[in-house]
Amino acid sequence: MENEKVLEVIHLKKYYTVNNGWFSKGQQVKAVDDVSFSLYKGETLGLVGESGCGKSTTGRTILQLSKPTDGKVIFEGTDINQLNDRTMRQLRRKMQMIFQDPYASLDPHKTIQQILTEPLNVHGLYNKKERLEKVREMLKIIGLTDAYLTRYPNELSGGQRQRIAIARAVILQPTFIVADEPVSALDVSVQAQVINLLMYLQKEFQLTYLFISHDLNVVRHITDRIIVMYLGRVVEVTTTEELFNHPKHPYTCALLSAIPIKNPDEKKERIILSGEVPSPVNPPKGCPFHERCPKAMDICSKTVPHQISVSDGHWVTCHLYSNENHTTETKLSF
Amino acid sequence: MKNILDVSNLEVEFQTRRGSVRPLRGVSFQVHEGETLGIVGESGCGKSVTSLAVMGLLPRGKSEISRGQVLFEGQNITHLKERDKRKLRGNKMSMIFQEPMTSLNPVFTIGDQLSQPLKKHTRLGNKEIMVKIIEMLKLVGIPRPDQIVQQYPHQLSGGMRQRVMICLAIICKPDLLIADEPTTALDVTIQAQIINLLKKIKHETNMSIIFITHDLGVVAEICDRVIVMYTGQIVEEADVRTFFNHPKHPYSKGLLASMPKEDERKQPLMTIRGHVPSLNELPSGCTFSNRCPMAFAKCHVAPPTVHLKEQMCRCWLYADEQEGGSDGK
Amino acid sequence: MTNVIQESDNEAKPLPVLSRKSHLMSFFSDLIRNKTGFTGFIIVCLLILIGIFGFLITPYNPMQTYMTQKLLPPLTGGHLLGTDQLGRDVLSRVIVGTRVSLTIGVVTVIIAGAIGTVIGVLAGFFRGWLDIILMRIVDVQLSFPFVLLVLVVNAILGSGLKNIILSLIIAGWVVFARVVRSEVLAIREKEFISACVATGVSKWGIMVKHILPNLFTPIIILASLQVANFIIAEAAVSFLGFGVQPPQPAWGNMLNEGKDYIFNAWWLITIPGIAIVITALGINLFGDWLRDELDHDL
Repeated sequence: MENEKVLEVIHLKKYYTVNNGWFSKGQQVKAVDDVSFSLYKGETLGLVGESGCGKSTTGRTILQLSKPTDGKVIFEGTDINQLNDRTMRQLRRKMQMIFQDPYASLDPHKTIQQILTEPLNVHGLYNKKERLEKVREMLKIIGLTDAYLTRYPNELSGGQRQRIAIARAVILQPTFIVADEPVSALDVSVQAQVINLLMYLQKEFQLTYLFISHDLNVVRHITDRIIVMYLGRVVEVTTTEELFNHPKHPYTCALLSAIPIKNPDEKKERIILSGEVPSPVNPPKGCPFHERCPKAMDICSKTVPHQISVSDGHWVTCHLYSNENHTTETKLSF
Repeated sequence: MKNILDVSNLEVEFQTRRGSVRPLRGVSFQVHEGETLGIVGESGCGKSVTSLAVMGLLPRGKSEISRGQVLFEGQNITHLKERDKRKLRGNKMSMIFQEPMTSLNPVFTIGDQLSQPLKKHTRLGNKEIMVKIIEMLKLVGIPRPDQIVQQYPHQLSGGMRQRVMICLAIICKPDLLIADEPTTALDVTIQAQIINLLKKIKHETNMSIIFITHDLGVVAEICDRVIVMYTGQIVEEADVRTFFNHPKHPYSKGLLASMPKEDERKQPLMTIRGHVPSLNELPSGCTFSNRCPMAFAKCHVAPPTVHLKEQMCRCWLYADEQEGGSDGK
Repeated sequence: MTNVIQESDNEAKPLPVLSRKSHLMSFFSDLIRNKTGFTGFIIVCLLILIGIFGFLITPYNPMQTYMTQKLLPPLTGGHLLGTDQLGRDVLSRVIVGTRVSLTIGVVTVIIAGAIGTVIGVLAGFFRGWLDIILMRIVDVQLSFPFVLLVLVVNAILGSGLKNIILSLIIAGWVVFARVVRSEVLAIREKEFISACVATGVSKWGIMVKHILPNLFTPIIILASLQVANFIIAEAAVSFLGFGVQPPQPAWGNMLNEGKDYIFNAWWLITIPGIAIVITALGINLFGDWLRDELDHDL
């Protein structure tokens, strides 16, 4: 893997104000709270966490589908928050998105041909004949026949729709794609097809993926590195193998232990977390995880932990590893 | 072992705007006392229709049980009157749905909703009911139950609501609990909590559970026996270990093989080609034949149900290995 | 580039491609199957035919007065539906009135619908102060009873066919604006709009190419139901002596003229009344069916 940075996210923040009724003041929700990471060319970076952890918002904010409250997103050297509307639209050719629900992400009134030609039209690529040629070629790559050109999305199965959505993103030959839960709305037998397609396209077009998912089995299969998020913050970053073999953050440990077993003969030690993800409207003071953390200490409820490097490229946001803790305790066992 | 539920040759017909379809095409299975039966399949395979047919909750006017019967504790409940069905539901058999928010009534407190089945099916007084509710809420792991009973569904989180749903379903100590994708809408850590809870209930009450899911991992966690459904038919039935270690039907094999494996990261996954056909474009003969890697000439004829030593399988590949008498259908 | 990702065999076979034509066919076969929808459809078709060609089949000149034949009850003196106080043939007048009613209904719906759609799209798409101002205007206007508003505007503008259409438009666009705006808000949140933004489609392109086509169905449904409302409103206004002025026949002013004879010539108000009821019923039946049908397809 080349070590060229495609994307750099620096202190990204996205706050919402929610109105909680007619007379109460708006409350601030920190959906994404100070998230920083880099994405290298050709890699697949997984973004995992439970619902409400801010992983989708992070993806959407990076692509400027919603404006960040603060922070920088640097794509191939340019800070895209500073771009005007027009330049940003041109840059979108390079960064694309695949959405979770293929039933909602395709315009129901457009034929497949119209859907796939639109990106080419918008960016003024090729002439009319070449565009159709390109669309046909793309259909072939994703495994559908030309007969689908004149179809409408509602005549397609979920898996076929998701293929079209993927084709729409890839047809512009972008460098970077945000895939937001691209397989979680699909049937089990179709998930594998779409995962294969994504991996094939990555090789074929040297794509860089930000792969957002809650399905840890899928994430383990497809990603090179993983970011674990909890309540809008990054709690752990490392390579996929390191994360599954030596998870450091207590939340990561619990998350991994909650993956259902693959075979009834498999025995698995479970860390059952008490309670649920707190509301991001009133996050706990200190470490946002301390109320559910089996290893919580006094300090956890008082100060917010910083990101600490425990080994090369392995970062953890936890008080357990501050000071010299991590050198003595290599693996956590509960 | 005693059979709690005996479904035989069940067929359901749905009236749609463009003619009628048959989401269930002859389904037979039994649920034994105290066992957890997993029904696995993809969307449109008929697993939810099966549960609705058993519960007598099929939408009236649009659908009907056109053939077969459902025996519950020896009693034929296939065409029971609505009033008699209501006596069973929530009392002897109950159901947990996928979406906990829509299954609870938003205008009643948790206490009100939990007291309804007790008022209906028991002769307990108001005080006893309250005691019972608090006790059951504790059982399903809800903290501060005496406060929760005063609250409304929207004040609870998703996992809490699902616990309340489970509490509602088991409060009359039913003999049969049908759980239709109870953890699909939940996060993994909450899913782990709920599965643990269901395991605990299973151990403590000897309740029979039908667990409907598309997630094979969940099946491995909790089920004793598995039924795999495809386009409204059972294609394989086996105990859970046999199913995971020696699946027979190509569809079951495909489902298991397409799960990502730990030691094959980044490798292309095994897939089942194509997609589940819609009910009005089913292939003739074996409905899986158009996706099956093993399909051969015989598959143009509907396959027989083959009873093997440890499992049942609906596939021509095993027609010669039939154990005992044949079921030529 | 080879195709490593295979779809199934059932994909490889050419599937029957549903063309626009067969969509239309299935549309009509659904229509014939639905009794109420079909009844509405037949009524609407008949009304349109009568509206266009009705003047060819009127047995008498609807404006011609025969003072010797006044107030004849139906089925007497060669008048199928009788005559009015000036001896004019009621059947002929009802037939000619159809055109007035339909013209008013259709023209107002088209213009009011267009205005309301533009305003609704602008408000829903751009939000902000524009939305606030436009929607407050809509709110204020919606707080007046519809017919009262039509009356007031008509009183200011003066009576006559053109002015009644104008007043109906002025009073009627708000409903479209309100519905279209809420539809736009709903569509804006759909994921395919986000997908367009991510692709780099401009705001204008999203509005014209993606939001407008998706508004087609709700607007058609609303328009079909509003036609009936406008026809009834016109009748009400004409009945009150505004709107279409005699001697030009319209259902509303026929009611107005007939009300003085309610005790000795029942048919003068009954016949146009029935015409209004049948028209509104037919359009509503058809519109309801259309809503069910189109909502289903998406």
